[in-house]
Amino acid sequence: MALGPISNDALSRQIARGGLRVEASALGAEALTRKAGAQAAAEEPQVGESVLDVAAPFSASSSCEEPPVAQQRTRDFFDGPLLMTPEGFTAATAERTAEGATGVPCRLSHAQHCQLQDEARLKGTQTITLRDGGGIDHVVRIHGASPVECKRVERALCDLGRCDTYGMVLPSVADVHVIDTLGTSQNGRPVLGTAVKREGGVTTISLSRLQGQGSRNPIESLDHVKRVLYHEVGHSVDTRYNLSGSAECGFGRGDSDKIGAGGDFVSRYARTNAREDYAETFSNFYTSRSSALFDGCSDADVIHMNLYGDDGSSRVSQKMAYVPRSLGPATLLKDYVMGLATNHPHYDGIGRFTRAYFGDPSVRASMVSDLAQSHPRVTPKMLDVFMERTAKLLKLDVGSVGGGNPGMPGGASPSAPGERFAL
Amino acid sequence: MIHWRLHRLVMGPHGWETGPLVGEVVAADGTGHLLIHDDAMREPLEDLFLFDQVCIEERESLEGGAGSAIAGDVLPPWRADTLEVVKRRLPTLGLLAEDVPIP
Repeated sequence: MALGPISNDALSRQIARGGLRVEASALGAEALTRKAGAQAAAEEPQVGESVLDVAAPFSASSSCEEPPVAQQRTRDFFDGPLLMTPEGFTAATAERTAEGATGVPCRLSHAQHCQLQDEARLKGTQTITLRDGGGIDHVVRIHGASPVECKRVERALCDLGRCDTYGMVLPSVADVHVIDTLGTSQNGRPVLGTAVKREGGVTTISLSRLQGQGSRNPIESLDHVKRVLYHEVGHSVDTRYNLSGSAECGFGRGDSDKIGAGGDFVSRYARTNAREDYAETFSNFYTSRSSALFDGCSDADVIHMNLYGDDGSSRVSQKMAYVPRSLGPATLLKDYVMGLATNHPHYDGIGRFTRAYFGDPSVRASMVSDLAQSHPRVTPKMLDVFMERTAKLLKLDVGSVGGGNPGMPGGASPSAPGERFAL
Repeated sequence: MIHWRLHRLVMGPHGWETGPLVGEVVAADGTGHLLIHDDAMREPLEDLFLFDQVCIEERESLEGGAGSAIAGDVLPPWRADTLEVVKRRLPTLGLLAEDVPIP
């Protein structure tokens, strides 16, 4: 069903209906209140991981003390009168008729998704600064979230940032919107989240509260937020670095009946195609990897635990091992160098660029300096090894960095002992 | 009827193995009870057992290829199919369910 643009008023009425519904049912209010209190205490931003800058908070949302949940839901999501007026009820009924029997909009257009994101921004934005594993800060804005939801999204992103050793993951997240409902898919299923391309080609993420869709707000569950958010981030990383297309472990391939430990796919949905397989495997791996329970464990240990019962030889195990391996210096440098080589009018291709790297000391110096700023975990030696391999692949006779090239600092062979890494 | 004992996975000399008991689950006919033995695991256990489980099932493009939406099925707590999903997710959080024989 085609819908016209969703107005602020229409959205407010929809929200009001959701608020009244929740208040009337007040399901498990005591348990929820206890949980919210416990989580508020447990989820104070950790020093050095996240700095919360409340730009336009919901009233009193920055307080550590969270109100009881039933009260909080109506206050956070609804800034008009708590009771619906007869006029409002009439309008809401008319709108419900337009939307369908459940009162939830059906399939939304791109313009409607953008409008919902804009309206979420009007409700308030919280800006958080996340630090990746290399110590670089990334700013993420969370729009339209209640304090509890904001804590969940922030925690999920903080946890992800801790595992982002080379700063390859966090840059793909800039804006997260929390929205009452994102409608349904063509097949009538509730839409859980969207990755929406906005002006300038920027991709923004929306998460749905599934309001009016027969569910408790799933964004209050950290597990849910991680699964949906990390799945979307997995797509974003895949798009940037083209990882699902790797022939190394065959994403999208396998026996569709073999799911889970010892099988070929990590989930039912992973069977869809290579891209979904990668995103699901990414989401599963990072849900475990980001848990504080496994701080200090190797990636191999985390995968072994995640696929408990798998001896490591299965296809799903190999796919999962590829995820962190692919997000290392080799992929990063390939992307970085190819970007420089192809986008710079002077070099016009990887061959000329590689020759310049070995022939002109200022090119290497500039890259080393740039990488030190943006990806401090990538050392000059990693760059040298990568460029030497590139030259070898291209069959260019350029010698080695530092060998007979007086402009190069260090002068040591990249394969010299003392610095261990894998490209 | 289902009765599970939930254990942490701990690193032993031969890899991950079943560790301390952190909770129990008893469910039948769409209702159930979660008993928590380790308060540190309260949040992840409540997340898994007291919330609906939302399983990603499809993805569709927004018009003009300007993004995409993921959609899923919502499984209410304590149903048999929900518990199957939850059981598969437990190792992701470092947990394992051990069946308790029903007399």
